[in-house]
Amino acid sequence: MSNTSQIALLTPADGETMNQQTDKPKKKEMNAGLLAAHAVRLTRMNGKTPLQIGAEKTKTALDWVYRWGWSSPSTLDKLGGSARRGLAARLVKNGLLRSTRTESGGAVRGVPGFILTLTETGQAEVERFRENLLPYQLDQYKVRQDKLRHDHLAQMATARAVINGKIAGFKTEKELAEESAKGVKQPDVVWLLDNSLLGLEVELTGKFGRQLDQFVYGCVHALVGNASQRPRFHRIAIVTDSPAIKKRYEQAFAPGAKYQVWNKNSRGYWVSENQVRTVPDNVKGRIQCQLIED
Amino acid sequence: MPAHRGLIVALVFALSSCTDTDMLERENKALRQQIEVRQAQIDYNEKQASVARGCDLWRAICPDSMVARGRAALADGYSGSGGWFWLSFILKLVAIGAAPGAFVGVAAWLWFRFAKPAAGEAEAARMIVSSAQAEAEKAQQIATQLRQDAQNTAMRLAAERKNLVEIQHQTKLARDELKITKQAMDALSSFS
Repeated sequence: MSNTSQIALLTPADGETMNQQTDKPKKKEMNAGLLAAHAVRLTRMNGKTPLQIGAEKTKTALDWVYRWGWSSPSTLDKLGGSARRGLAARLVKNGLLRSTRTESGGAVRGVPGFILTLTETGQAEVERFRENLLPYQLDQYKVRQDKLRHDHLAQMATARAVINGKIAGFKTEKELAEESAKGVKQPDVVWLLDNSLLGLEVELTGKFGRQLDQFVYGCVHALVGNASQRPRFHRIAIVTDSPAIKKRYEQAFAPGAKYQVWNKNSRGYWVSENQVRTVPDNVKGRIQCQLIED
Repeated sequence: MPAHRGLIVALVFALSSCTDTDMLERENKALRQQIEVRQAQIDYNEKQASVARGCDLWRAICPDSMVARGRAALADGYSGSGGWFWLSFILKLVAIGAAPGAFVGVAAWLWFRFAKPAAGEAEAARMIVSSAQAEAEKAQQIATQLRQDAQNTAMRLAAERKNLVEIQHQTKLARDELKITKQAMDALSSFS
């Protein structure tokens, strides 16, 4: 339906008729205001009908859940862009999403009370229009409860960045894992800026020993690359809500800082190669530790 | 010669005593004519002898047709000491020296006329050429120096251009990095 036809439906003739019946000038003014409001609304909708906009929002929300594995009602509502909430509830009601109460929802700050996962119908709907398929876990109870706050932080920030146009796109950990070799450390999400890739690591707990070494190695390797692999990202941002963790990572990624390389032996145990490496100078300024207030 | 004269006078005296006067006068006249002829013949032979002697002195270069009679006269006893001796001798010397003298004279004339000025001109030309060569060498040295300077300048310019390109590249990288940093900071504000 075109703008012209939509405007034509709200013809002044109706208003004039009413005016003729009631003969009240006030009503005539209201009809003119209503007409203007409709015109503004149509302009904001870029000439799309409400039905088309609703379908797009549904598609966007389902695709979001498919890419992240799960999401929260607040994230989807924010993604919907509307001031009114209810997109997530409508999708649950339509049988496209499944809502599941979380273990610590409401008790722990930043953990959503409910998580939303795709139903089989929702998955089918998403995969109908996607070009690249991803492995999707339909069992909502396999969503890691200990990472809900972590993932929710990443999702909310990504949704805000997308809506505000601060990033051109993003790739989730699942998508990155599909594109990379097995065993390669993936960031939580990669944001696509104008001409660069920003890897994001949300770190809410401190890492020590082997895990810290592997984290440093993975980040440095992803930034610098080697003879067989090009650098994967231009920058990496480590986001945390703990000043202590921020300080710890800043020290770990300072140029010249030492770390060890670990590998699994034939029996499957992690062993250090007794090979101490240093963080190269050219990562200086490219690994950014950001403290957030949740 | 005196011997012949005496003989003739005695003959005249002898004849004049035995004949009449006319006859004697005629005879005397005839004898006088004979004496004159003989005297002319003697003078001629003496002249030929002088010429032959002058021609044959030091080196005989005169043709036989010219000196045969004189040589015969010399053999007959003529002395060949007259003025013709010196004349023929000098003429012979002149004849001997004429060819080389002419050759030397012509050569000298040719040398003064052509070779000497040509030599001067050649010397002048050689000096001009030498000077021009010196100028050319100097110009060549200047050109070589200028070429070297130009080459050095070109190399320096190339190096500076390379540095400039590198600086521009580094500046662009720094700008890109700054832009990425701003974009990243702006995007990360979404966590707030």
